[in-house]
Amino acid sequence: MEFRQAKLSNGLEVVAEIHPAALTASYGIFVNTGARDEQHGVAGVSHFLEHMVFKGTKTRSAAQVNLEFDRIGASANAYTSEERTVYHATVLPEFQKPVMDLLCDLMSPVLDAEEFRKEKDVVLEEIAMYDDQPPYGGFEKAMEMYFGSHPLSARVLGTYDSVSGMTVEQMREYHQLRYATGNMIVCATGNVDFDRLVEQVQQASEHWPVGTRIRENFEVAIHPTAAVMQHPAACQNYWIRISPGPSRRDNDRYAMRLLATILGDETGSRIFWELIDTGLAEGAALYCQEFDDVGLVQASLCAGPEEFEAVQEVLVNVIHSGVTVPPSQEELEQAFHKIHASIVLASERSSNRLFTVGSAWLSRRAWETADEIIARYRAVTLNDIQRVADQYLKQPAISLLVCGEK
Amino acid sequence: MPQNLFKHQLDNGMILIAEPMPNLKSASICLNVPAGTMHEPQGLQGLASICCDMIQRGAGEYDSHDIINQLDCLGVERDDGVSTYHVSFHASMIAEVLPDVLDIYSKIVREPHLPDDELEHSKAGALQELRGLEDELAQRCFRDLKRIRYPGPLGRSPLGDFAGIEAIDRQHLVDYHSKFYIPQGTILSVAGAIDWPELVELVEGLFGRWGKGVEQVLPKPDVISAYKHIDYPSQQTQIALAYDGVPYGHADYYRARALVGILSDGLSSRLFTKVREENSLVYAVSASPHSLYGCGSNLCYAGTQTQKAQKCLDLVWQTILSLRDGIAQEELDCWKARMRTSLVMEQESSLGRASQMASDWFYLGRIVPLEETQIEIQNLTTESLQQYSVEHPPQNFTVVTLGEVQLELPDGISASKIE
Repeated sequence: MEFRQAKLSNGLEVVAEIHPAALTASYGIFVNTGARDEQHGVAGVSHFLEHMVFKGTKTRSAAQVNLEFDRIGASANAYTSEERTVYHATVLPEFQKPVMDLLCDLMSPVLDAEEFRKEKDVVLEEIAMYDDQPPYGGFEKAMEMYFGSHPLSARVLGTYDSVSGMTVEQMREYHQLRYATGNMIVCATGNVDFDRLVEQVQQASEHWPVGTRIRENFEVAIHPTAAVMQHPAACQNYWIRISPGPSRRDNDRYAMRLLATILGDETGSRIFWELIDTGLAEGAALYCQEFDDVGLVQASLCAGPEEFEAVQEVLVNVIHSGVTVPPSQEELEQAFHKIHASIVLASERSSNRLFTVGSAWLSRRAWETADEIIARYRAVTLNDIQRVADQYLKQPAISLLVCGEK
Repeated sequence: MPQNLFKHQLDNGMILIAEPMPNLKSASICLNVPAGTMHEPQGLQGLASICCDMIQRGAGEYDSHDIINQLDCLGVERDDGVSTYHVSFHASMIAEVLPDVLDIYSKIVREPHLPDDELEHSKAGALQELRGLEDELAQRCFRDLKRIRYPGPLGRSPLGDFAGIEAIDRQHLVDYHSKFYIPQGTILSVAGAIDWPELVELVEGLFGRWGKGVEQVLPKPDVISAYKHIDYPSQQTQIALAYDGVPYGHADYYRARALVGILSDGLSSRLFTKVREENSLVYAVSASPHSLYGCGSNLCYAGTQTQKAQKCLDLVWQTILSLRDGIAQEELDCWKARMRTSLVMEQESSLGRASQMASDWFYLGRIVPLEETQIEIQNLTTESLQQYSVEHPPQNFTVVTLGEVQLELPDGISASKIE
């Protein structure tokens, strides 16, 4: 396995983790833009743009884009988060050139007004789909409560009103501003021909906007609150609790992830034994959500409305037990082995490695092998666990209950 | 790439199949035991799932905590599930720990404690899941679709029903386990960094003395054509639709599978193009094949806002019908390219191979080499697909919709409405 990197003359970086024996290759363009970068009045533009990127370029119609991905048997998709927009495809190695030709071409969409009008309806369907499904909507509301006026309070999908009112001119302006060579990277994993990849991307990106884009960061001011959101048809109750955690760039993230695994993994954790094994809850978990500059510790609970408050209390007590009943060496070992295995198993596929390698480079300009990541978890001691428990589990939290009328 | 595929039958009837994948560090198992929902006694719907949960709450020398702690410490990513025919255990791990993991699973299926004092917890968890399904609108539609389409034991949901779960006691579990957790019909499929002779010896040691039971006969399903609407205050209407297909292993399987692929696989597929790209009616639309033993169906799904739901159903139907008007060479070539990629990607996943081999064995009684599948796919022609679609027009429809307004079934879909 080999890691290679290149910085093109226009500032665009190309990185690859190369496995010559891999049967497939995965390619991604990671754009450092997401919901937190949206100006007021265009909530959801990053995600809507992700849809529109597939709707035609100067040389290809939307139908041609779809057809060309299918002709080479590509497994292609895209996603948008608060901080990233990622376009990716996995193919057989012989199709490196055509798949990169397509992915690069997509970065210059025409953003046609008629296609914009049609795709708006698809995005509104997506919003409606999630609105029907509790506790979706609840997570977004909880993030708004937690972040207040901070840009991370933005909803990735936007709202029905913000998407309905958006204009194609606003989207074009956003695209021109954010899709610049210093604000994106090309990443590849698996059986990759790196020299040809660099040569191809250099040519394809010649006309892309250049320069870097600064992401404004603010302090997060938390105002602990609890709220209730009605979802009239919901049968179960859903509860979301958010408190501070380490960011994606904080070295304490390894210890915090291990602590979250000890307390709130889906099997074998303290929450599992108290709430799932006993049948008190349908689902309950504690997990980390990390952004570049801030992090969260989130807890979620789904259970029947009867005795819900008592079940909530059990969950809160388990979270606090991370401080009051310090994790044992056995618990730490168990959590380490789970994470170790999941990293090893995931690393067997180039399509899985793409996201790990691309995200790490975009966020921290760092490349770590699976073994190096495992070593970072291995180095975490009980003292580290206790320290992050003291630092984060005592912090104020916001909470939101989503419940029905039944 | 040449494949080494192995099969061994134990004296008690259990089947062991395996594929060594020397380029991987992992190994995966798929253990299918013939204790699926079709065997549940009438009035005890949910018993197969409760039994699957309860056998993992203590077995052999392990108590409930031991099983989970051991599997966690061995770094096993795992899942279990109940289907019409089987209780299935899937597990992926770093290959060195495979003997320890198989030891635990042999105890789980052969020597469970079925602790009486944990039964109420297990039932409470099952009731939570059953109630949770009411909030999962698409899944709820497909649960009802299956129940209506395959009346009787073959249409049961693994989640059971409230009365069935409430009625289960420990003796039901003991009886169910002794009757259906048997070596005949059990398939253990293993793929990854494994050594075949060592695996045979290991499995003989762990499962060789498993006592025989009475092998069950698999009934052929009856299919019911009907339409059910569920009134529900949602923004979107959920549409679930089934019509006749062919099951995996049928002589026409790949012709029928390619037609479903042309409908739904890939960005240029007909449903995605017509229903989403050209008419903006949905975010999600799909079709997929579904197999029971001796009976196949094609399942379609679309979710769309209420005011567009009738137009959406009509267009889904017209798109299905359009297959009989001809298949473009480009469409077939795209589907073949996608299948080629997916077959190669399967070779990167020990769990993917273990699951596929288990399915091969159940439906075909043999493991299908990837090259054979590739040849079957390459030999398909547009003429043969069109001939098939003309000779087998879509029929025997089952439709379930959920939303604020009941829909009119398009001309050509005949199904009586039921409450």
